[in-house]
Formats: sequence, structure tokens, C-alpha cells
Amino acid sequence: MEFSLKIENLCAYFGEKKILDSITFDIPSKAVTAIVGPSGCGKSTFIRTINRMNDRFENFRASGKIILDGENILSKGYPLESLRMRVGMVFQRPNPFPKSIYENVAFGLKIHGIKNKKVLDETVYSSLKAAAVYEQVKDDLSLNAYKLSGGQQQRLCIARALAVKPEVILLDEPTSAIDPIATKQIEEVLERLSKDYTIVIVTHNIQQAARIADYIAFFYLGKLIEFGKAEKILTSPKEKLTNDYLTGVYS
Amino acid sequence: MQKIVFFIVSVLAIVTLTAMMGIILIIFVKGIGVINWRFLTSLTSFDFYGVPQGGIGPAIVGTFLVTGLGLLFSVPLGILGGIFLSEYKTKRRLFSIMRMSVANLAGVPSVVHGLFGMAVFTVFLGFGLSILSASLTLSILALPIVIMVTENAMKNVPNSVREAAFALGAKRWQSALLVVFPAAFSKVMTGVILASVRIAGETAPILFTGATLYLTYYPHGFNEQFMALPYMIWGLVTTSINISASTPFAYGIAIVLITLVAVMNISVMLLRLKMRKRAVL
Amino acid sequence: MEHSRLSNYEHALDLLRMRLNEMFASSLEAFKSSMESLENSDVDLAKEVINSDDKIDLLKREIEELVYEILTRFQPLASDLRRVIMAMKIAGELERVADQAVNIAQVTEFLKGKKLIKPLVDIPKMAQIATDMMARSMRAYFDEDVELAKQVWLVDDQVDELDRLIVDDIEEVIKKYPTDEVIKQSERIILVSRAIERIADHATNICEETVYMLLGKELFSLL
Repeated sequence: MEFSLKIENLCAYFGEKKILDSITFDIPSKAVTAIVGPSGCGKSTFIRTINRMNDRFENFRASGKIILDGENILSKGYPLESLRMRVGMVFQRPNPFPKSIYENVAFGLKIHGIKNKKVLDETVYSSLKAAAVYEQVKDDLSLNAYKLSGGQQQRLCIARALAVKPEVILLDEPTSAIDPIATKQIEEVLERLSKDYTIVIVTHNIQQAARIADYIAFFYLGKLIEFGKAEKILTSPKEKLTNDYLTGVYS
Repeated sequence: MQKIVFFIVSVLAIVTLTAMMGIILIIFVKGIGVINWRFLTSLTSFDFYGVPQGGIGPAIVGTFLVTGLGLLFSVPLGILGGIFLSEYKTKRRLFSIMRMSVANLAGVPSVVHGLFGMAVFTVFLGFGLSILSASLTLSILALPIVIMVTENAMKNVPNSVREAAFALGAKRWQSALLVVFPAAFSKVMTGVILASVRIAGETAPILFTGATLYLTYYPHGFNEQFMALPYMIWGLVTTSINISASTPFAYGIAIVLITLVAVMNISVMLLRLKMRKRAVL
Repeated sequence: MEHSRLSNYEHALDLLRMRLNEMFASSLEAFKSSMESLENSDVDLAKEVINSDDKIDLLKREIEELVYEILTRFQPLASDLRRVIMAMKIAGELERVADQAVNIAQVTEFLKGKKLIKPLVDIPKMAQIATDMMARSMRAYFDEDVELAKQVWLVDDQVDELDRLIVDDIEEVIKKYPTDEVIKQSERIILVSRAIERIADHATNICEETVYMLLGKELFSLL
């Protein structure tokens, strides 16, 4: 089995507070890995450390290694722009730019210097298709993204992330602000995408993990408690903490 | 209890509105007689008895020129400054000092600006009494306004949009210029228009830097003196030879000024409306 | 049957437990009675056993419906999921135990008080072991006792051994007295032996299912 990301002894701090404690596991390629756990267990911090979004905070510090394609992305000199082209992110609340649908998807390409209209057009088209939103917007790509519904906006955000052709897509509770039907559509998109991309999704909804995850990582109070194939974790987990979480001891 | 308060507030509102309407009405009544096309476009002149003839053409042009140039100098710089203050959050200390100085500059009475302008532009840099000096002085007045408005507008753009840009690999300047600024654009423009309204009406800064009461011609270049509307009002009512004859003229100018301001403000409102329709932030 | 909609997961589990308890007791009772009827040639008792089977089938259906409702309503996971699914499987085992009891009772009916070709020696012995196994597997489930489950599982060999003995024995008898009556009875006796052997198997299955429910592992891997 191939692994996209190898996490080694990852620790993360906000000031003095230790948020992540010696996280070590490997994330399988071209599969859906769900990160689950009760609120405050560090799942969001973890995922945001992978694409170094936490660097924005002055008091954030991370130690250990995250290896992507043989290089440790946590090392000081690692180019952030290049990292974020290979590791994309979709956020909890849809956050399209206040621009047209076309401009939203093309943005990632444009800021990396791609100007060729044909390339842009094709990429916008294929990204919107992959995110299963093309049919709904094809009539007017110049429409302002804010006019779309929540579910459509979120799929647009997925398309936007896909446009730069990343290897890994990180999603931080992407459907928690979306209605159930749109949630189902997004889950179907993710399942399809997992054939070609490595998907890492943080979710507080175990049912969602049960529906779409191939692998599950259970976090508790900043530690990785258990990681394994989804069916195994959901029917007979090894650790008592995991079992307690799944049977609803912690909500 | 609610009713009493409501009553008091309504009374105050009516009084205030009436007063405002009253002011505008009085000015209108006293000055309307003077307004005609000739008034607006011809050169100014006075006859032997000090009764103003001609019109305020040069004053209108002068005001426009000096306001326009003032904006030209201050707006691009101010916008960039505002963007910088908003998006680049490095050295905390330095930034709060910068921000404070900007705020202070905005609060300084315009007469001080005028003196500063006179010292620096007119004398030290040798631009003399000119449109150039005056517009530079006005730009210093407008600069902090534009900076603060821009910074505010940028800060009002929710962080989620910046995060989205960074997550795609955008550098800070790309996020600032390509995503956040366009989103803040309408608010910035509103602020710019308000700043321009402000400096169009200023008298003190242009007093020592190039405005004059009486020109027989339109200024030929930026290094020349010019006439301005607010200054002219003052001049006509206080220093003119025949004050009683000049006063209606002054009211006429007042009407022009009020109309200008009204037009600017209405355009701000229309711009806001249009922007809202496009569902920008 | 009607019951109010499950409002509470705990309540649902309690209900499930109660029903299983009922079913355990009924199946065990049916087995014991069927053996009693055979040993005492009590045709009336045999008829009772046969009639009571419907009640047991009903219990199984109740348990199944309860399990479906729990699954859809509460979507349990991990140990909760295992508990519920195993409950359904064990109900299935118990239903088959009752079926075997019916088979034994039917043999009693067939014999109709006739003299047995050979005194029953090993069969009661086997039945005793099997009854014991059933009772202990029931205890292992409700007491959540993994060790007890293991013990029961290991006893199964004895039952298999006895079954083989009985078959050998019967073969001897047939060779000696190859009459119609003897052959008919022999068939029935072998049937009873098999029935008891199956019941013992079900008891071990219940133990395996109990261990999986408790630990998420196969009993075999723990031996």
C-alpha cells in the first residue's frame, strides 16, 4: 500500500499549550481517511498543520515531521506556495471568493502564473465537472459565486481546490454547515475523487465517517488513539477509548 | 415610558430636520436669482461700483482642479497604505504607532495643514502659490482619511476569504490585491468620494497655498494661482468693495457647493446600491 | 405485537435482553421436556413440546424486529453494534435448538410407547451434557463470562465422541437383528443422537458469538 503522507512524532503548540502529542501514522494514498474524535481533540489543528495554515498564528509551533514525497514539509525553508499546490483545503463554511464562478476556479492557476486561456477554460471545466457542480452552473459561469446555494458553493470550493491538481485534499468538517441532501452530494463527490486523490477529512459526525471513510484515525485530547481500516474500527476497535467514543460515551 | 421617549425623540428629529431644511431653503431663496448658465461659466469681473459681473467659472474649475489633483496624489498612496496596514501584521509596535499617527493626522485642524503646506510646498520646495502647492496640501488632508477608510474596509472582509486564498498558495500580496481589495472596493470608493467631498469644501489649506480671490483668467498651468468656491464665498462677503451687492453672488456659490456635495453623496448611495445588487460583501 | 417506539437506547437494550432471556429459557425447557418425553415415553408431553415451538418462533421474530429497529434508529457502532447483531444470531441458534427439540419429541410420538430395542444409556448421558452446555452458555452470555464460554466450547468434543459411540452401537444392533422394526427404531435413535449433537453445536456457537460480542475477537484465537 502506498502512503501519501507520513506523520512522524508530530507535536503542536499554541504558546505553552500542547495541542498535538506525538502523532505518528501514515496516510494511505488515493483513499479516504477520516479524522474523528470529540471536540477539542486537535483534529482541526492537525489537518491545518499539514498545509501549514497554522503558521499564520504567531504563537504556533510544530515539531516532528510530515513527509510528503520524501521531503519534510515542516522544515523551515519549505516553500509554502508549492506545498499548498500539492495539498489543497476545503473549509467548514463555504468560502468562495466574491468573484464569478469562473474566476473562483481559475484563481489558483492564475496566481501561479498560468495565463493561457485554453488551459484555464479546460481546467475550470474539468474541475467543475469533478466536483459535480458543472451541470448546475454551466449556463452562466460569470455569475457571482455568492448567488449559489450553500451546497453548490461548497462544491465550487472543492472545484477550486481541484483546479491546481493537488495530490492531497484536506477537508475540515466540510458538510457541517450544509443541509443533508447537499451533504450526500458532497459525500458522493468525495468518494469518487478518492480514486485519484488522497482525501483527509475531519468530521465530528461518526455516521459520515462510517459512510465514506476507508480508514479512520481516532484522536482524543491531542493524541492519536487508534488508526486502521474503517470497518475494523467501527465494528471492533482495539482501544477502549475508541469503543467508548463510538458507543456515544463522549458526544 | 416608551411613549414619552418616542415623543421626545420625534420632536427633536423634527426640529433638526426643520432647521436643516430651513438653512438650505434660506440659501436657496437668497441665491437662486443669480444662477444661470452665464453665472456658472463666465469669468469673474466687478464693475466700478463693486457689483460682481460675470460668473464663477474659474472658481468652479479651480475647485475641481485642486480637488482632483489632491485626490490623485492621496488616493493611490492612501489605498496602498490602508492595504498595507490591514494585511501585513508584522511588527505590532510599529504598526500601532503608524496607525496612531494616521489618526492624529486626520484630526488636525485644517488650518494647520494649510500652514504646513505653505511652509513645505510653497516656500521650502519652491512651488510657490499654485495649484500644485494647494493640491499637495489637500492631499495631505485626504491621505489619512483614505488610509483609514481603506484599512477599515479591508479589515471588514471576513478572514475566511483570505484563508481560502492562502490555502491555494497565494502570497500575501496576491491575497491582498486580488481577493481582499476587490471585495472591499465599494467601501473604499465610498470613502474616497467622502474624502473628496471633504477637501472640495476646505478653505484653510488652500488659503496660504495658492487660492486667490480674483483672477481674470482661467489658470494656464499648475504653477499658477487659482480661484476656489468656498474661498470665494468668504471673500465676497467680507473683503469685497460692495458687500451688499456681492452677497447674493455668495449665496449663489453656496447653492453650487451644496449641489455639488449633494450630487457626490447621491452618487455614493447609488454606488452602494449597485454594489449590493452584485452581492459583493 | 405492539410496543411503543424505542425512545431510549438503554431501554431498547433492556428489552432485547429480556426477550433473549425468555427465548433461552423456552428453548432449554423444550429440549429438557423433549428428552423427558423420550425417556418416559410420554406422548402427551411430546405433543406439548411440538406445540410450544410456535411460541419460540414468535419470540425469534420479535427479537429480529427489535434488532432492525435498534439498527435503524440508533445506528450503533463497535461494541454496541456487536451486541445487537450477536443477539440476533443467538436468537437464530436458539430457534434451531427448539427445532431439534421438536425432532426429538416427534421420535417420542413415533415410538408410541413401544419397547425400545436397546435401553437408552448413552443418549441420556449425551443429553445431560448438552443440557449443561446450553445452561452454561446461557450463563456465559448473561454474565458476560469469557472463561465460561471457553469451557463450554471445549466440552463439545465429548458430545461428538458420544454421538460416534451411539452410531457404532446402533450399527452393531442392526447387524445382529436386521428386522424392519429394529431398522426403523435405529433410524430414529440416530436422529435423536444427531439432534442432541446439533444442540451441543448450537451451544458452542452461542459461546463463540458471546465472545465476539464481548471482545471483538474469535473465541478460537483465545484458546
